[in-house]
This record gives sequence, C-alpha cells and structure tokens, in this order.
Amino acid sequence: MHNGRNSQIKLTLEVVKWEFNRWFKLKDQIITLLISALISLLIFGGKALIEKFSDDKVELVIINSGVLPIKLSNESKIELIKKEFAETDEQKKLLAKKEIGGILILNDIDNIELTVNKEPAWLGELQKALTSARQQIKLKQSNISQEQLKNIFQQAQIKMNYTETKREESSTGEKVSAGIFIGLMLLGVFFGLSYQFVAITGEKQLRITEVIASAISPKTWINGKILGISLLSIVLLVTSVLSTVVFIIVSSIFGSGWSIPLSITNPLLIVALFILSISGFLLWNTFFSAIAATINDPNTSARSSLMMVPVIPVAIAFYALGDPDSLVMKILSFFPLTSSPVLSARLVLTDVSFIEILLSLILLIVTIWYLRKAAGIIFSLSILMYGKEPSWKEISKWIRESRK
Amino acid sequence: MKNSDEILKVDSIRKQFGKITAVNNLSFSINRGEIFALLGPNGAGKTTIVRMLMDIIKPDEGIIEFYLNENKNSRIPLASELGYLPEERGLYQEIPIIKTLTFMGVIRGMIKKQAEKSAEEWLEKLELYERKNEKLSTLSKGNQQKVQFISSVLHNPSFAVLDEPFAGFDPINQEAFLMIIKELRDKGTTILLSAHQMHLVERIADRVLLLNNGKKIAYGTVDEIKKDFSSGEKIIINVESIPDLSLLQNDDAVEKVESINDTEVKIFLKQNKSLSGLLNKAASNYTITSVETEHISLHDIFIERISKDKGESNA
Repeated sequence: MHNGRNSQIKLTLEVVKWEFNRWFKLKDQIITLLISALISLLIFGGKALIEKFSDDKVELVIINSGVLPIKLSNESKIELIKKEFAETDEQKKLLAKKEIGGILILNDIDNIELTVNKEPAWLGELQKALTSARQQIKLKQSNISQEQLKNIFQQAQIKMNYTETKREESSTGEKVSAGIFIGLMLLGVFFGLSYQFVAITGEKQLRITEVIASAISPKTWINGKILGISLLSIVLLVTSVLSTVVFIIVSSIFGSGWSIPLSITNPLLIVALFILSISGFLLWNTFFSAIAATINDPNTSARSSLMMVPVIPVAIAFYALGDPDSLVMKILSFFPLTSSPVLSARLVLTDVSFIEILLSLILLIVTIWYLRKAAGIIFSLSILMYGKEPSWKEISKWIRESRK
Repeated sequence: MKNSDEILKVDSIRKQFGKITAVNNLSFSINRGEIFALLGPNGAGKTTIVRMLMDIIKPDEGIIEFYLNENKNSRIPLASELGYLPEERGLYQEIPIIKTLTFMGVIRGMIKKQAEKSAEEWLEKLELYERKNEKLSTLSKGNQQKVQFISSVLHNPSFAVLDEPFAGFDPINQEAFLMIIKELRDKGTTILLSAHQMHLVERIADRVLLLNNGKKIAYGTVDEIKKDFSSGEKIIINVESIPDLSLLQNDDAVEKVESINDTEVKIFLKQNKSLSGLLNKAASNYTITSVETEHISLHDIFIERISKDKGESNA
C-alpha cells in the first residue's frame, strides 16, 4: 500500500490536525486565562479592598511613653493611648473584654513589657517602631550622626571594569521569570506527554491501531502524532505564559509591586525561547511516543514511570538560576537532553553568543531526527503487539536490524 | 501469469511467528467484482492473511499482487483503493461519530467535504444520521458495529476486506448487512470476507477458500466445493428407540452416520446414491416416526473437512 510522497506530507498534516483538535479545547484556554485574572483579582483586589474598608483600629495603652518617642506611620492601625501611670486593674479588665489591644509598659529603653491576650498581628510593626526609637536614643547617647553610622556599616564598594561587553547581573525579576518559564516548560512537557500517552495507549487498547495502520504508514502516523501533540504543548505553554502575565498585570493594578522585567520582552529572546520550547517538546514527545507504543496496559506497565524522566533536565536547569555562566551550565546547554530548559534559563539570565545558540539547536535537531527514526521503528513494530510488551532487548534488536 | 479477471493474486505466501507457522505456502486469487469468502476455524490463519493483504505485516515468503486498476499495472494499491473492517473492532469512543468517519475518509484519500458527505449518506442508510454528532460510546454495540462498517467503505474502495462483518448483529441486521454487502459488490467493489456464519456466507459468496492450520483445504465456488464433497444429501431420521448405527453405516449408500440424540440420526448419503434402499432397510429394523431430507450445507462441509484435516494431521 502506498500514498505517494506528496500524499505522505498531506496525510502527516491531516494527522497533525486530528491530534491537535482531538485534545485542544479553545474554551478551556479562555477559561484558564479568565481564572488566572480572577485569582489575581481576588487575592490582590480583595486585599486592597479589605485594607481600604477596614477601620478596626487597635488601641494600645502605653505607660511611661516618654521613655521612647515611638513614631507610627499614618496608615498604621495601632492607636497609642498614652498613660503616665502604672498599669491599673481597670486597663486589664478592658484588655480582657478586648476593648483595648494591649498594654505596653516602657520601664526603660532596654526593659519593655507588652501585655496582650494573644500574639497580635501588629507586633512586627510595633517592634519596628520601638527599635527605631531606641536606635535614635542610642545614637544621641553615643554622639554619632546618622551619616557616620551609615558609613560604618556600608558594604565595600567595587568598581567593575569589563574587558568584554557584558550584561548587568540578573535582577531578581529576571531570575523569577526564568524560574517561572522553566516551570511552565515542564508543565508543557507533562501536558504533551500525558496526551501522547493517553492517545497511543488508548488507541492500542481500543484496537484503533489496526484500522489506522491499514490506511497510513506507521511513519506518517507517528510523525503526525509527534508534531500535533508538540503543537498542542506549545499552545498550552503560551496559554500558561499569558496566564502568568495576566496575573502579574492584574496584581500590579492593585499595588503588588510586581512587574515583568523589560529584558525578557525582547522579541528576539521570545523567538529563541519559542524555538527552544518546541524543540524540547518535539524531543520528549518523540521519545515518549515510542515508549507508549510498547506499553500494553498503562495501569500495570512499569514503563509508565518513564514519564518522570523529563523532570531531571528541568530540575538541572534550576541550577542555572544560581550561576548561568558556569562551565557545567555551558556544557549542559549543548547536551540535547538538557539544552532546551538550560539554554532557555541562560537566555533569560545572561548573554549567550549566537554561535552557542546555533550549535545547541543543531545538536538538538539532529538528536530529534535520529530519535524520530528509532521511534518510528519501535512504534511500527509495537503498535500492533497486543497482550505483550516487547523487552528492551527486543527493542534494541529491532533498531540494530533496521540499520542493516 | 495473471488472469485478466484477477484483482488479487497471492502466490506461495508463508508467515511464521516464532515456532508457529500461521500461513503455509498458500496461493489463491480473487476475481474482480466477486465476493470471496475466507473460511476456517479459529487460528486457521485468516487474520494473518488479511493483515498481510492490508500490508500491516509482511509475508516471510511469497508474493501478493493487486491489480486494482484495470488500465494500470499497479501492483501496490493506494490506501484509497482499499477498505478494511478488522476483526478487532475499534474506533475513537469519545469523539463525535461524524468527525471520526470524516477523518477515516480523509486518511483514505478523500477530501474533507467529500468524506463528510459520504459519511452522512451512509449514516442515513443505516438509520444513524440523527446521531451523527453523538460520541460513539453512546451507541449500542450493534450501532457501533455499523459505524465501524461505514468507516471501512465510505471512500468507495475497489477492494474491501471485511473480517467478521456479521459479528455482533442480531439476525435482522445480519440479513440487512447481507444485502448491503451484495449491493457493494454490485456497485463494483470486490469483497474478501471472513465469517463464521456459514449459512450467510453460502448465500453471498461467489468463491470460497477453506483453511486449516494455515493451509488450503478447499477452494472454489460453493457449487464446486459441494460437488467435491463426498456426500450428496443428508437425511435426518427420527425413530422410537436408539438405532444400531453400525447397521446403517455399513450400507453402500451411506457416507457417514451421526447420532444427534437418543431418537434422532443424521445420515450423509454418498454422491448419486439412492435413498429408497436405505429407507427400506431402516424401516425394516426401526420404527421410523419422521424423515427429513436436506441439501449438504457449507457448514457440513466445513465441519467435515476440518475434522478430516485434523484426523490426517494427528495420524
């Protein structure tokens, strides 16, 4: 049976469309984006709303207020009621009735007592105000000015001179962005693998394989599956990234102080990350399509656990957050199994030369090509094996024999 | 050398799975526009042959040649020219029926609109049109079988392989499918069918290949096979008490005698032998309550030939 070369390409595209449409639900993606916006709105908008409308001031009785000149901000919920006398039974009764929040006794600057019913939420704020007031007094006593004190405690200053044009140290925002991107990439890999796994083992269990195998070649079928599911993974990754962006935008409207670092909005960087992501998805989907074809029953097969393998390179990529320019990370940027997440993290965090990116991509694509050939052989021989899983020895024999 | 009527020629094919020979040096041909039945007990090698014809597995030895297009000498068929209903049924359960059928048509070379139209026509014909947007899992087993059947023929193939097309149907639907298969043949599709319902096969098959243990044991038209069969007719005699079977077995006109139960005996007559002498002999020895005569069926031949082949293999 044959279909001709042009038909093979056409059929591959039909399988791509079928696999993509089989799993992709536009409604789900829109719901994901809306939920992301809603969660952000609930968390940050809700917090802002509560703060705006909450006027539950806490009354704190302060005895001997002259010992420390406590200054609280205008937004503070603590209201100080100054008493120049010793603690009285009447105030203790008010505390028991929760009519006041606490009794603060300033015996001297190093001897402060606070009586409350239970640990209060405003303790941190009070502690800060007391520390600041105490420091002021101690400074006065030691005759050192604020500037002198600052000078004593400031860090040693190093003026950096670079012989190569180098990018500035990654900001926390960039590190967080890289971390989030790696996480989302892992999510995309898992989405893809789950769909691939369910698609192939399901078709085997439902005995659909024989109908399809009589119409198209296993090679066309596996190519279509890998491309379709990888396309789906990239769409899911884009939705996840957009959800994160929506979350950050909504949160920033309500004053979270979060923002997207400008450096990662560079179009070239986005294109590079896109290519690396799709290459990574292709690699893992190819690997897993072959594994899934050998699985007879997904509920009992030990091979199902191989789905966890992609966690390893992604976990390694997180080390790049610490030192993206280390030799190990540079090597792992070239190694095809780790290059996709590691190089993506490095691209966000540091400067990577074009040659490095190109070489890494070439190595990755060559690996995908050979892996796809091996996967095609395993897939075509395993897909019609019912009731028995081929052993690793058999699989390696198939691949060896196909080279002859 | 191919006959001009041949659409498929199978020459000395052999397939081995480990130590088991599934198909052993088998040759046959199928003529254009005929219904060809592949018969045999479980494990005879029918599905292996079908899978080799569908290019799902390759024969270890031998040649399979298709001549689907009369004007072209194309020995390797296009997927669009073949239809396949496998014995192991299976379609996507959680996808609307019309989508699955359209996809099946598209991978068999149809354009999407054409596939959708053909699927709708078939669904209409098999009284499933109203349910075209439902998931397959919502249909009864019989209706799922109908959808599976549609998926194998909606692209109007030149050659269709139908493995157990009547399985899972009630007698009314079996009868309906018999007519549908005949219609397909009349419209020009050559059909290879494999089935266990001998009474149905006998009614529609133009030619038959009977297999056992991967070997050919009978091949030809139903009439030719019947002619080759040692028995001419069979009679069923009902008697009052258990008869002595050896008395009947020794008669010149008798090929074989089988006891059905305590009072019923089935007698297979030799070709061109008269019934009257045997009946006189039986009447003088037993009290006969009824006599029925029947033509030898494909089922009888199937049972007899397989038993004989087993006996020869064991010997």
